[in-house]
Amino acid sequence: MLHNDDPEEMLKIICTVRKHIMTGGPKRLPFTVPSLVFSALRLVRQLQGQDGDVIGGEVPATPKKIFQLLNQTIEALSTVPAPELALRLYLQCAEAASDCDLEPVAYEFFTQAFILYEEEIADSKAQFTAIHLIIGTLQRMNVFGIENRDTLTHKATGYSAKLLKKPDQCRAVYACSHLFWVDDQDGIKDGERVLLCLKRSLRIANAAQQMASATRGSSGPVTLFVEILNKYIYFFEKGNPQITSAAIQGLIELITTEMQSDSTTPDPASDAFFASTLRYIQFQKQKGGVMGEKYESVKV
Amino acid sequence: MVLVLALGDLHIPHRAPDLPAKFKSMLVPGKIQHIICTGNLCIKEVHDYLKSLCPDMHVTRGEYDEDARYPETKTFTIGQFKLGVCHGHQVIPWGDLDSLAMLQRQLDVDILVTGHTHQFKAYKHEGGVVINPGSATGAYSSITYDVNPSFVLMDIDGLRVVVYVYELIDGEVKVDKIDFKKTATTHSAH
Repeated sequence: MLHNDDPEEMLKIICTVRKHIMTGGPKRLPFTVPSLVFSALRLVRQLQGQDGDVIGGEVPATPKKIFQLLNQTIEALSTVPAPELALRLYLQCAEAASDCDLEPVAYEFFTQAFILYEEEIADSKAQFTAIHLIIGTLQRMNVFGIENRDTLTHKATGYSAKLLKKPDQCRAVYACSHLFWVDDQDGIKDGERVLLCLKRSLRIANAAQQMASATRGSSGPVTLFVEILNKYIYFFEKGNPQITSAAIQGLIELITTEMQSDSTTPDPASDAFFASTLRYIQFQKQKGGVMGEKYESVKV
Repeated sequence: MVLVLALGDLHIPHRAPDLPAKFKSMLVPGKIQHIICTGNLCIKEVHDYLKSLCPDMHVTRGEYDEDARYPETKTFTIGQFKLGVCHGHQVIPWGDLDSLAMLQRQLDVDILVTGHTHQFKAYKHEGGVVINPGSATGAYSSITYDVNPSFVLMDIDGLRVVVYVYELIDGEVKVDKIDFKKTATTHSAH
């Protein structure tokens, strides 16, 4: 693998290798491009640790310059075509750019990733994975100002709600709730938007149940509701003031009613999941202290 | 005494050419009864190599895996323990212990093995044990800086599991071990 301790030399090596691999065809690029990208990202990390720019030669070794190279390199995958791989690489670069505090560069990488999602990724399973990767990466980004972050989270939630299958929509939307709550010291903690996402996913789960009733005569398993209940619990414990113990109680009762209903398909997996969730709540209640108090009014 | 090897996030060939030599010399066929792989191998050659170490292999899909047929999650039983495997990129926020606990409740398992963060973790909470074997090749990760190659070997004996973690630090293999005992609870499957 490519390695040189001197960043200047390393960058020259990367540039040279890049010129060569660009001539490789669609069979080779899916292997050569990622390897080069990760070598370059390693170099970026190395340079992050140093202070200031290393200037010299025709190609100064700065993270910014390397990201420019990376952009052009990943673009080459469109000739294969390998949009899913390219999307993943763009997201990796976005995260690295965020660590280097380069907001416009990170934004640009996200833009490229979204464009690929919109235009090239049509398979519903691939879309489900891709939107989760976008959400997962975006959740960790701390370089964006309010406007940029809003634009990107809006896009992510929008696409989540437009996935083909209702259960997929539901899961992607509740995953988006994490975009508005970051556990760091100065991370965003927007309780209201978290609740909005969870309520939206609840509506989608309801719609999914009704559709199953209408098309198959019996409503589907209650798994989605149990998943959403677990998310409510997550944010409840993190201290989101918008999530109340009454809401949790309501969900528990909803699920219990659904499970006992004649028209619901029995599903041992959902039963076990619900049971372990209730056990968890019981455990938290018995803990006493702050956690026990939080759960006091919840009856399991 | 059942030996289970848990490893993942090798990212061969994209981020690493091979397992560290010191690990390879330790991983000899015939000694391990089961292999758990969290995903991101990424190519068939790695799959075949791991299969040669032990035919009973459980693999889940990582987002860079070439073979799209690996399942997203897998659950199976070894002795008294129910194990679950998932790569982890599906659980947001990545590496978040509470969200992983939710997955553990969903799969209803005693031991959950996940990866994605390339950082070794083994901890016990009320519902069971969560293990992350890290990256067996020390591959680059956007989540973890300075990844040391690592993998995990579990020794399952009755209601007790001993987790050995092998980490390659500065060219030397360091071993650490953690003990977990399962309390015989009324809810577990008979």
